[in-house]
Amino acid sequence: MSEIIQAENLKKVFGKKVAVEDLNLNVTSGEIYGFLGPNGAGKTTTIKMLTGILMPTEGSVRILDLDMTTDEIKIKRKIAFVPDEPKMYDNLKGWEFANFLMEIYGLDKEETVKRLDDICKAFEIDFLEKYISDYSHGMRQKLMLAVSLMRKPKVLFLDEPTVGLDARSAKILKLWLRKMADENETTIFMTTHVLEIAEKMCDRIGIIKDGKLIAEGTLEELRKKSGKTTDSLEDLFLELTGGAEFGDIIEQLND
Amino acid sequence: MREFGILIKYRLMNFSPPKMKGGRRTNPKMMILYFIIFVAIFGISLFPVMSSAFDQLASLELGPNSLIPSGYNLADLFFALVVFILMAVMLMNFLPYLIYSLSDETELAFLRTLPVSKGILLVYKSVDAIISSFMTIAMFIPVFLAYMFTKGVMGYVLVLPLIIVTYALPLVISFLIACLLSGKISAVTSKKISGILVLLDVVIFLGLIYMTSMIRNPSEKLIDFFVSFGTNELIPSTWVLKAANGSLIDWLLLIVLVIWIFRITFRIANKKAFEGAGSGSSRTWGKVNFNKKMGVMQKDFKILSREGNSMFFMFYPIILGALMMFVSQDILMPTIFMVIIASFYSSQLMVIQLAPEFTSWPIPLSFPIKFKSLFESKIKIVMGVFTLEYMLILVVGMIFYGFNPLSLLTIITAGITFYVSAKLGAYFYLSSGAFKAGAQMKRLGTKQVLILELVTILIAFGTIIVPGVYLNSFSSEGLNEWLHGIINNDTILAVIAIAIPVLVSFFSLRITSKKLNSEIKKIKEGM
Ligand SMILES: Nc1ncnc2c1ncn2[C@@H]1O[C@H](COP(=O)(O)OP(=O)(O)OP(=O)(O)O)[C@@H](O)[C@H]1O
Ligand SMILES: [Mg+2]
Repeated sequence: MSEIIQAENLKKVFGKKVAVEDLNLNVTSGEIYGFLGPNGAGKTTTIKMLTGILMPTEGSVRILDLDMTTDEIKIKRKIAFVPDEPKMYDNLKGWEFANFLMEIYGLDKEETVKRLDDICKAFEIDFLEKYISDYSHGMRQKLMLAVSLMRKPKVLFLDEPTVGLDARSAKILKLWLRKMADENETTIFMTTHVLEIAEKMCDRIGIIKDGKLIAEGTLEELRKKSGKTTDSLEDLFLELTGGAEFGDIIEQLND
Repeated sequence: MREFGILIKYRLMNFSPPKMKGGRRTNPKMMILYFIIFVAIFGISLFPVMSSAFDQLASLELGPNSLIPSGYNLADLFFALVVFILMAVMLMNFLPYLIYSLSDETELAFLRTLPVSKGILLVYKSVDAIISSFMTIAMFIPVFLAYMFTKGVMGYVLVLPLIIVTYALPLVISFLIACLLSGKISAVTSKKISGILVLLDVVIFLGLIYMTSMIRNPSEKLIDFFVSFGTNELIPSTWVLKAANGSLIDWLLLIVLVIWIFRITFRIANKKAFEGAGSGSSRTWGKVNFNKKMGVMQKDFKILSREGNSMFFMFYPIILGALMMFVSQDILMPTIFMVIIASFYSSQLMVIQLAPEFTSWPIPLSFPIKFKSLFESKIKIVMGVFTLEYMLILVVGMIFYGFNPLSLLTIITAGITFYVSAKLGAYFYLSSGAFKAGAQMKRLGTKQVLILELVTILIAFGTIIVPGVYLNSFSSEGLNEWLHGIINNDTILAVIAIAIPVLVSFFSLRITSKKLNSEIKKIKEGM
C-alpha cells in the first residue's frame, strides 16, 4: 500500500493564532479517512493546506508522491476539493461551470459528460440550465459534488459534504464514495460532524483539537486506546475532545 | 407608513457593506451629495444649451401659413418632444432595475417574513431603482428649468410640481408593469437589460445636446413633425406641455392618473407573492452544448457580460469618443478623453471581474492553473476591449477626417496604458482587503478611486497624450507652433516624444506588476 496523502509537521499560523500545529498524516490508497474535531479545531485549515489552497507556515505536504511546493499544479489536476461552503460563480449556469472545469482540467469531454449525466441522475440534478445564483444551498452542494465526482479524481477532499443535503442525496453520496474507494482505489479525506457517518464509512479516523491531532486509528484502535471497548464513537469523541463536562452542562440546563 | 419608514431606515443603513478600514458607511447625506453632483454636471452642460435653444426657437419667425396652433411657438413644441424623450428614458431605465430588485431573492426572502403588506414591499424595493435612476432625474431638472424660465412668474411657481408629476407618471407606470411582470423575467436578464439601458442614457443625453444645437434652423418637415407631435392629445408629453402653460384640466389629468395607477398597482401587489423567477429552466439538457469552448477567458468574458454595469463601463468610452469626434471634427481631444476615461474604467472593470472569484472562494484556488492566470485573462479582456475601441476611433477618424496615419502608433501605448490601469485596479482591489470580509462586491473606496484616477491620468498623459500631441503637430499648424514655442529644436522634441512614453510604459509596467504579484502572494498565505 502506498501513501497517497502525506503531511509532515504541518503548521499554520494566522497572525498570532496558531490554527494547526505539529500535524502528521498518512493516508493510503483507497482509504476513507475521517477527520473529526470540534468547531474551530483546524479541520478546514488542514484541508486547505492539503489541497494547495493555503500555504503552510511550516511543514510539507506530499500528495500522490508529488511535493506540493514544486508540483502544485500537477497535484491539483489529480485531486478534487469540495469546500464546506459551496460557493461558485453566480453568473454562470450549472452546465457552463461544469464545461469550464472540463476545459481547465483538460478532460475528455465526451466521456466526462456521460459520467456527469450518470451522477446527475443519481443525485436528481435537473437544474444545470439554471443560473447558479438561483440555486439553493443544497443544490449548490450537489453541483459541487457532481463536478468533482465527474472528474474521477485520484484523491478526493470533502469538507463536511453532507451538510445541506437531503437524506436521499446524503445516502447516495455515501454509497458513491464507498464505491469509488473500493473500485477505483480513490483515496478520500473528509471532515464531518456527523459521527454516524464517520463510524460507518471511514476506514480510519483522526481527531483534531486546538490544531493538534489528539487521536488516530480505526474505530477499534480508538476504543482500545480509551480502554472502553463498548463505547460508541460519540462517547469516544466527547471524552477525547473534553466532552466530560457535558454531563454538567446538561444538568445545568435541566435546572 | 410607519412600517415603510422603518424599512427605509433599514435600507439606508445597509446601503453599502461597511468598509474594512475606517469603518464608514455610505450615509444618506453622501447619497444626496452624489445626486447634487449629478444635477450639477448635467445642469452645467444641459441648461445653457437648452436655454438658448428655447429662446431662439421661441423667437423664430415662421411663415404665415405655418400649422403651429395659436398660443404656441416652436420652443413649446420642442419642449413637448424633449419631455417625451425624458419620460421614455425614465421608464426604460427604471423598469428593468425595478424588476431586478423584485427578483433579488436574497433580500426578498427576508422581507417576505415581515408583517408588512406587499404593496409597501414593492414601493420599498423601488428605492434601489430610484437611486439608480438619479441620472435621469438629474436630466429632468435642467431641461424643465430652462423651459419654465421662459414663462416668467408662472414658470417659477410651476416648475417643481411639474417636474414631480412628469417624473411620477413613468414611475407609477413602471410600478404597474414591474408588478405584472414580476416572477416572469429572471433576475439575470433584467440586470443585463438595465445595464445596457444605462448606456442608452448617456447616448440620449449626448444626443439631446447634439439635437438641440442642430435645430436652430429647422426645416419645414421638422416643423411639421414638431406640430403633429406636440399637439397629439394621446401623448402624455402633450399634457405636460399644456400643464406647463397653465391648463388646469391637464394638471388634474396628470395627477389623477398618477394616483389611480398607483392605487391599482398597490392592490395588485398585495395579491402577488414576489417570488423571484427562475431562469427559464427546462428539465432536460436539451439546450446544453458542452462542445463550446469554455476556457478561463471565455468564462471571464461570459461572467463580465452578465454583470449589469459592465456594458456601461465597456462602451461608454467609445460612444463618448465617437460623439466628440463627430461634433468637433477633430481627433486629438476625443482620443485624449477616451483614453483617460477608458483607462480609469479599465481598473473599474477589473474590480467587477475580480469580485466573482472571491465570492466563489476558495474554489478558484483549487484549479490546476496558476492563480495569477485568473488575473491575467481579465486584464487581457479589458485591454483588448479598450484597445480595439481606440483603434476603431482612430481608423474611422483617418477615413472620414483624414487624420495622420502615424497616430496609429499610439495604439501600442494606449494598449499599455489600459493594461497598466487594469493591473492597478486589481492591486487596489486586493490591497483594500474588502474582499476578505464578505464584502467581495464592494467597489473601491473614495480615496482609492481618487488615487487611481490620478495615477491613471498621469500614466495616460505619459503614454498617449505626449506622443499624440507630438504626432498631431505634424498636421496641425497651431500645435506645431505651440510645441516649438516650448522647445525650439526638432531633434529634442522627437527624443522627448519617444522617451517619455517608453519610460512611463516601462516603469509603470514594472511597478504595477511587482505590486500586484506581492498582493496575490499574500492571498495564499492566509485567507
Ligand atoms: N483566514 C484566517 N484568518 C485568521 N484566522 C483563521 C483564518 N482561517 C481560520 N482561522 C482560525 O483558525 C482556527 C481553525 O479554523 P478552521 O476553519 O480550520 O476550523 P474547523 O475545524 O474547520 O471548524 P468548523 O468545524 O467550525 O468548520 C479557528 O480558530 C479560526 O478562527
Ligand atoms: Mg470547517
